[in-house]
Amino acid sequence: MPVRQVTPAHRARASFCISARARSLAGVTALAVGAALASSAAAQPRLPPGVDGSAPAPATATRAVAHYLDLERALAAALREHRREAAAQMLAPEFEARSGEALDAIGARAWLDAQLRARTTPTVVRDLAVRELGDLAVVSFFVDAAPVRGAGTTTLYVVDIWRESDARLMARYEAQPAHPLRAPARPRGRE
Amino acid sequence: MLRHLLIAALAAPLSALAAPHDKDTTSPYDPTVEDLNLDRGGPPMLGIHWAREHAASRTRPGSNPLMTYHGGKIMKTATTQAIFWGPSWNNAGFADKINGIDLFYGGHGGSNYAKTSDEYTGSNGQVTATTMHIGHLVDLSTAAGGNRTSVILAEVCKMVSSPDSQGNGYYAVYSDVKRGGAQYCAYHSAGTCNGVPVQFAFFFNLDGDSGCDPQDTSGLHSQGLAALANVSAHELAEARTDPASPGAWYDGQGEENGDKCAWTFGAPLVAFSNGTQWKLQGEWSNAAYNAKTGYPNSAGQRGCLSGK
Repeated sequence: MPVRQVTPAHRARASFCISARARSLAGVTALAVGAALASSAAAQPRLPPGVDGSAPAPATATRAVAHYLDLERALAAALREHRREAAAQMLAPEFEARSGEALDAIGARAWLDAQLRARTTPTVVRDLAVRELGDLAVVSFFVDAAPVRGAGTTTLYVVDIWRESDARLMARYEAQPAHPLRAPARPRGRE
Repeated sequence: MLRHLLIAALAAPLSALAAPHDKDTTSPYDPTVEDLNLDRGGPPMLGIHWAREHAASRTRPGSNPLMTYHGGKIMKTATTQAIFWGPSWNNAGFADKINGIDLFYGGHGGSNYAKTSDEYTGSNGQVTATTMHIGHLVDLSTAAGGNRTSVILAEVCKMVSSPDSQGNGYYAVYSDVKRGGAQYCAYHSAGTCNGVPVQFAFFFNLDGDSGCDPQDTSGLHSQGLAALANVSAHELAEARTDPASPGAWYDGQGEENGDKCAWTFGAPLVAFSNGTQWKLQGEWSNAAYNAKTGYPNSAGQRGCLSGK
């Protein structure tokens, strides 16, 4: 199979050769530089319109991200579809939830009651990150709730603490960020 | 975005990666399927047995798992070339990966695995199992990580003097930089070099990286090569069915055919057309899901294929 190898040393040698030739052919230097610049401009890499090139495109998520994305989606779906028993089985007995809007923590039963009373709107879990610490995993992500009656999309920033060994949610912390990271125009596959 | 440190990945000893795992990774939906989403690398689980209600909750009844077409082109054929970027590729210890990746792409074309993507059509025709590998390039200059797609595209344009003029070029950039805190193993994207459309992909150095490891215990490949092969299969399948901008095939959550079957394995090893064998995740097939002939992904949706 064809193989080409470019090393820093190779590039340095190539650069020296061009310089030497330019010195001996002073009369054509301007033309050569002009041509080189034109060629360089034409060879510029370009991303498609609308792609800023700053963030990875659709990516292969790590096993940890894939796993907890599954769990978070399953919990969100159970709540949205009012499957109380399914949601309850994903919570640890010592589960508690805290938010930026209340001083005290609430337990599993009260949290489930509140979630199941809430208006049913489609939600999207996105931009999930995982940090594993022994049997615990700190999972952070955004949740976008679809607009209701002309209101804009509501975005929450959530930090969940999962116990890995039995896949139970031990704690949830959530707040509404003043300036949430905007959802991508097209899902990134990690939502 | 996804930038938090994956402590377990960094702390995992290499010996642990090489050793056969003794945790139960059997899919709760099919005893013949290995689901590494169940193997979290924590204390021994002694086998997860999902409660029936719990398992049902993971299937998200009512949601449509099918991928839909979004109007863009697909890659009918692909001309693949690998770019190994970074000074470490000069090390003897990296040679097996260079040779192995060439064998991987060399055997992909015409394989039953490549055929798992051939049901998808785009504005320019239908995906075929034809991929042709034209070898590799090595750039020993200091490599970048993957956090800017524009940098990876620039590397492709620097190294590939004449991209495939038909726009079927797929250039896979293998960096020697480790993943660190990034929450992805690889990605694919698209751009142009000198006005010629190119597909490209980026891969971290996955040596000793448990977060991106398919746990290939066959002994056929080093851990790092096996890991690269698995994510290479994922990215190539996605690039062929959903070349970036505008998109072609993905589901309502933005997942492409590789994403929907990530870290689940329907067969211990997949045989390629050149006789090589690899431990590879399956790829999503709408047809297999509809016909109930696929193996289940981690959500229990039976649309994954290891071959066709």
